[in-house]
Amino acid sequence: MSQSPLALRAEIAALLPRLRRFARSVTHHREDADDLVQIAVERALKHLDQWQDGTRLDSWLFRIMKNAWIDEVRARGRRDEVLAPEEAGEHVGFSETGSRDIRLSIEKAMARLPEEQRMAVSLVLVEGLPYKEASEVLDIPIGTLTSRLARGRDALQAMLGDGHLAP
Amino acid sequence: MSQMNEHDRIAVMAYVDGELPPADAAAFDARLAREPALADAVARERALRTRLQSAYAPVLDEPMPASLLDLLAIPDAAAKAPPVHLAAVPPPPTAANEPLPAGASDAARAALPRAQRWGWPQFGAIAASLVLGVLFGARLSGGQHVPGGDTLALAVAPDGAITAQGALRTALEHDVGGTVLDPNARVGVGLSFRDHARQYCRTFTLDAESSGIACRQPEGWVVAHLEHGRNAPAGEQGGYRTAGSKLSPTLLQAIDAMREGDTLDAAAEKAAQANGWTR
Repeated sequence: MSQSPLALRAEIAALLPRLRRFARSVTHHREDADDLVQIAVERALKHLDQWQDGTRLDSWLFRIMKNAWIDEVRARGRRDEVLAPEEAGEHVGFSETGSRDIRLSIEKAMARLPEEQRMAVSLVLVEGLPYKEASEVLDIPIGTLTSRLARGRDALQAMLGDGHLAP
Repeated sequence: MSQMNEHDRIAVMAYVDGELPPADAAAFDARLAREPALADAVARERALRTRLQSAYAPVLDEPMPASLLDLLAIPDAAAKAPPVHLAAVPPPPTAANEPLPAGASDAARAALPRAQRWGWPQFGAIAASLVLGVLFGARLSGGQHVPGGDTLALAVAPDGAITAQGALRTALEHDVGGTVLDPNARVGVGLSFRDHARQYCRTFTLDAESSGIACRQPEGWVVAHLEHGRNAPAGEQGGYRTAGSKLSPTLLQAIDAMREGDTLDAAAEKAAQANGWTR
């Protein structure tokens, strides 16, 4: 462990935009997302010595975020139904009216995925992690990861409709 | 596409995700050419990937909340050090950082102002600020003189070019053939070589935190490669690193990609330095 804490801090700072992106797709809520990043970075800084040199720092941080979010969801689950998608039966249409609408409908569709599928989709399709890294972040075998990915993708395709020819 | 069997469905995913081994990917390519249903499934998956990425990409450019930046602020010693400025423009040359005449005596070199020497916190802070500045797109105001310019190791110009300043600039300019001008400066110069444009380039280290390559251009030593932390060569605290010091694999790769011909030996370094590192 030759990495100095200062250099590690700089590297974590460099990853902040990606941590926020992952948080946004996982929590589908702006404030929740930044709270999650905050909690995860605090945890990471407290346990810098646990990061193993030679492993990916981004994966390590994603894993901390995943665990922090699961804790948060459990804590909230007993209080309210924060995570229940608000209009559960509504069809999420694919809007051609503007990029912001497109973005919202994709975010809504993501929000409707079960937690475990959403994380798998986010890590692989958005963050571009290899299967091996993503499976380690989620603490699951690669076979489980690929089946979550397959189910998540099918659900998204179904919700987003036939917009696949749009740019 | 719902009739697709499980095996093909997984294969389409793995293909789009770049997870197929090369041989399998080639075989899959061949199938795509003659199975429209498979090609259509691939197109759908690619489109989904693109749509997800473009939906979340704007988050990367959103302003960073101050609370997050504060968490990663430079701690302790560095925080107490004088503020580090990322210069908008290199400070005007002063007696202290103007290149010495090639024939300057050792005594003249030893008489260089002490202001050029500084400890690691500033270097660390510079390295971190640099990362932060680049990352968060800090827009640096142009044109003003930077007070305390002698504590700078690197400056970022408005066009993004990073130039060596202060002790780093002095070392790049003068430390040749294993001679160290200022042994107290925590900078080191390692290998020298010429790049494809025939410019002279040299590797350097900033304390143990950062390392990189700077190339001599008319405006000064412009940083062509910079890395921090675990990529920087591990070594004793500060001090000069000889050409044989351990360089990180990524730095070595960068040298190999850049260099035209062999690295310079001590005599060639001295000759290039006497010539002002001009092409």
